Amino acid sequence: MGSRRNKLEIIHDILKSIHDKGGTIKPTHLLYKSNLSHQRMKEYVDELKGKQLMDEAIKDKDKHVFILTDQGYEFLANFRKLKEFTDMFGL
Amino acid sequence: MSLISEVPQTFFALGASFEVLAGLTAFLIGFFGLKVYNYASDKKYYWFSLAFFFISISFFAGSFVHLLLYLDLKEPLMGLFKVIDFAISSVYVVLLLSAYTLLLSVSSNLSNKRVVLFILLLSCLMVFMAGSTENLLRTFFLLLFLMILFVTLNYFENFARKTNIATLLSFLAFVSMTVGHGMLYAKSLLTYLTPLLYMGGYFFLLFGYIILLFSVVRLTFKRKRFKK
Repeated sequence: MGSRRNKLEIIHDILKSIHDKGGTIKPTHLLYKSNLSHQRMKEYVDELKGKQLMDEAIKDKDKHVFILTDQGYEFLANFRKLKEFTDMFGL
Repeated sequence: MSLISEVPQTFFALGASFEVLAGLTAFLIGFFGLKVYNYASDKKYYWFSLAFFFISISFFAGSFVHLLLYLDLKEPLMGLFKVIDFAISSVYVVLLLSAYTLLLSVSSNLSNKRVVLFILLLSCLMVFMAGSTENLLRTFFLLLFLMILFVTLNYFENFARKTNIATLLSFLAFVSMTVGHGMLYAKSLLTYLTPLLYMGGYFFLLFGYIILLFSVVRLTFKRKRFKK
């Protein structure tokens, strides 16, 4: 059984799910991919939108999608460094 | 600095240079911690970052006083120096105790703010109510040594849990710092071997910070995996 994900890892999993889908993902797919409850995913999405790591857009007739922003790509690019840093100090 | 008044003059320049390097390293770690906090908004990253910023400031302050001691100021500047020395020494003690308390709390996953504040108040009271400068020194160095010892034990557990080069380096850095603080505590107890213990203590502290600096530089130059 894997260890419990910390907040940094959850953010990474959410953003990576969007990245793996080419930078755009439907909310239902994100819910499935991020392995979170609906309520927790909503909290994370609001937080990540607030930090401009992801955004919401309307695509093909009223279909809501989440998109990865430039800052989101930057986070993914730096994730390995951040993860190793937190591991290094047991954070 | 009155706290280290019995140390031979020649070592002050060395101490000042060491503290600048250690201060820069601590600042870099604090900066990295703040970057993680900006992404994750988890308070533990904030406290960790604050601890290293405190360490950084205390090292820069210590370096300034070491430099003044090295310059060996004469009257009438000596009077002014004593005032500066007292003010900076007090800030140095409080900042370093706060930093180590925060580091101990974060590495032990202690989240109760009241307990953390209690440990800090108790430490400060123990130091400032120690009486003579000699007792103040001994209590201060003993507290730092004990705190860093327990932080090191936590980092050993961290290394045992996640065995890789990064966790090994941070564990070794803290082992070196513990030895350094142990030697500085021994220096405050003994009347002989003082220069050797002072030099040794600072050497091990410096070595610890060099390991941390190497680890952070290693991280900084790590290749990025994702491309847009």
